[in-house]
Amino acid sequence: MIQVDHVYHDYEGKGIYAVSDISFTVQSGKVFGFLGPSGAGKSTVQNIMTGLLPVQRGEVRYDQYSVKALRTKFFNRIGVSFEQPNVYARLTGYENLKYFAALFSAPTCDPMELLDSVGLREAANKKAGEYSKGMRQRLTLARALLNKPEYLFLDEPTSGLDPATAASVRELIKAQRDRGAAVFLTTHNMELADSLCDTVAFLYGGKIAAMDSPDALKRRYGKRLVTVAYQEGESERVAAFDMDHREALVAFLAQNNPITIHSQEATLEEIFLLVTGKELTA
Amino acid sequence: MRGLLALIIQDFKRLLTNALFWVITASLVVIILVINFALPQRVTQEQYRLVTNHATLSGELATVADSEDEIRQAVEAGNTIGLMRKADGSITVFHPQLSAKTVHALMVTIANATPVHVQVESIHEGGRIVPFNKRMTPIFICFEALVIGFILGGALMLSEKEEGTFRALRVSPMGVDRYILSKTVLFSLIAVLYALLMAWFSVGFDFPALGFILLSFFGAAIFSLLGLAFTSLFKDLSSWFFSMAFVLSINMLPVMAYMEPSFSPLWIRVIPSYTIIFAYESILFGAEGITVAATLTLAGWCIGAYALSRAAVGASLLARGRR
Ligand SMILES: Nc1ncnc2c1ncn2[C@@H]1O[C@H](COP(=O)(O)OP(=O)(O)O)[C@@H](O)[C@H]1O
Ligand SMILES: [Mg+2]
Repeated sequence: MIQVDHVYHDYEGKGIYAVSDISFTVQSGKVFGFLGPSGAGKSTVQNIMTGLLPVQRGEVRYDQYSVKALRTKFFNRIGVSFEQPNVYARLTGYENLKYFAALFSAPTCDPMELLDSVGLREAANKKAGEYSKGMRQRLTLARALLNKPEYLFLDEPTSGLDPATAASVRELIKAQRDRGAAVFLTTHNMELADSLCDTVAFLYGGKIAAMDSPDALKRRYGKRLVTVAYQEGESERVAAFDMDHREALVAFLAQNNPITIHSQEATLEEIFLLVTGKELTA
Repeated sequence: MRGLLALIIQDFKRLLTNALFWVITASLVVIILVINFALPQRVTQEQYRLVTNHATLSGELATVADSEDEIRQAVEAGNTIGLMRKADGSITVFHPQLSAKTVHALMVTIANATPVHVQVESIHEGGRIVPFNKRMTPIFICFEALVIGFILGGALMLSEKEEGTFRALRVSPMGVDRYILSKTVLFSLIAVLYALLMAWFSVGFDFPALGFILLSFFGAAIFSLLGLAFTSLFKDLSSWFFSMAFVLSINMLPVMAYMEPSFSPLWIRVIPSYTIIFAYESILFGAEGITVAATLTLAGWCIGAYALSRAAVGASLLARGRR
C-alpha cells in the first residue's frame, strides 16, 4: 500500500504550487489512475512518489516507510516507467533489459519473454536508438516490469501507441494487478482509466477535483439513462428511460421487442468536463 | 558484488559505439609508432661556450676570464657556462639554469679533467641511461592509457544524463558504489591492456609486470574516479568537454617536472600524475621498482578519489528528491 498524504510541490520555491494538497491511497492488487490533461501535475506526483522529487510538504509512505527514508535496496520492489521513454540508445532492447536486470537482487523476469509480451521480440537485437517512440515506450514499460515490482508506476503508458498495442499494454497492466502489484498510472486517456482503474482521481490544476471508482463517478455525475432500440412494424425505433423510474422500463420491455439495450452513462470525459469545467484532451 | 560483471559488459558495449573511445584507441597506435620511429633517441643539446679562470681547463676548450665578475657577465650574456676556480682550489659552476642532469654531467667532466676533487650529487642513482624516446613512455602511458576513464567515464555518465537513463538508475537499486565501481573497473581493465601494449611495443618485456599492472590498474582508477566526480557537476557533453580538457591539461603539468627534475614545486607534486609518471619511470627503467612512498601516495589517492567520487556522484545519483 502506498499512502500519499497532503503532498504539495513548488518547483521554483516562489509559492506557486504545481500540485497541492494531494492525498490518496494505492492498494495492492488495485490500479489507481490519475486522469488529467497535460500540465495537470500527474508526473510531478509520480516523481514525488518514486523519490525523484523531494517531498517538500506532506508525506508519502510505502506501508510504514516514508519515501524520504527509503534505502537503495527498497528499489528492488519498485518498477517505474517514464513519460519520456529513457533507454540506452546504444544498446539493443535486449541488452537494455539485461543491464537493468543485473541491478536487482530480487528475482527478475526473463528479458526475452518480457520483450515478447510488449511486442518487441522481433526488435530485440536492434539498437534501442533505432526504435520508434512507441517501441521505446514499450521497452521502458518492459523494463519497469523486470523485477516483478510490488509497486508499479506508469506515467502515460499508452500515449502515442496505436489502439491494438494500447490494448495489449492494458492487458499487461491487468496481469500486473492480478499478480498483486499496487499500480499507479497517469493518463489523459479516458478509456484506459475507465477500463483499468479501480479508483480514478481527476487531477486538474494540481488539485484532485474528484476521486472514486469509475462506476461510482458515473453514477454520481452521469445521467443514468437507458436507451432501448426496438422493432415497431417495419421500422426500428429508440426509447429512453430514466433509471430513477425503472417501472416504465420494465413495462416497456414486457410489451415490446427490444433489439439493443444501452445504459446511457456519461463517459469519464464528460464527467471530467462537468467537474473541472475543462476538456480532458485540451 | 552481484551483477557487477554484467554492468561492466554492457558499459563496454556502449563504449564500443563511442567515437571518443576509438579516437583514443587510434592514438594509442599512433603513439607507439611515434615512440619507436619518430622520436629521436637522443635530444641534441644546445652548444655552450665555456668561460673560466682555471688554467687546466682553458686552452682550446674555453675562453679565459680573469675575474669572477667577468665570468658572471659572460654567463648572463647567454649561451655560456662559467667555471671559477677559487683560491682554496674548489670550483664553482655558473650556469644559465641548466638541468641538474646537465650540471651533473659537467661536474663529472671537470672531475675527470682536473686533479681537484669535485663534489657531485647524483639525482637518479642506479638509473640506466635511457634513450630519450623510451624515456617518454611513462608520459604517454599516463596521459593516453590511464586517463581513458577520466574522459570516457565522463562521456558515458553524461550520455546517461542526456538519455534520461540516469533517472531510471535513480529509481533502481543500483547504488552509488556499484555505479562508480562498474565504470572504474571497466576503465582500469582497458587501461592495463593499453599500458601493457604501449610498454611492450616501446621498451620491451624487461620490467616487473605485476608492479606495472597494479600501477596501471590503480592509476587508471584514480583518474576514472576523479573524472566521475568532476563530470557529475555537468549536465551535458558540450558544457563538460572543454572543462574536461582544461582539467586534463593541468593534470599534464607534471611532465615539466619529469623532463626537468630540478623543477618540482609542491603544487606540481600534488597532482596525481606526478607520482604516477615517476612510478612508471622507476618500474620501467629503475633498478629498485616502485618506492614505498609512491605506493602510499597512490593508495591515498585511490581512497581519496573514491570518497570524492562517492560523494559527488551520490549527490546527483542517489540523493532522493533531486531532479
Ligand atoms: N522541472 C520543472 N520545473 C518547473 N516547473 C515544472 C517542472 N516540471 C513540471 N513543471 C510544471 O508543473 C506543472 C505540472 O507538470 P507535470 O507534472 O509534468 O504535468 P503532467 O504530467 O500532468 O502533464 C506544469 O505546470 C509544469 O509546467
Ligand atoms: Mg506528465
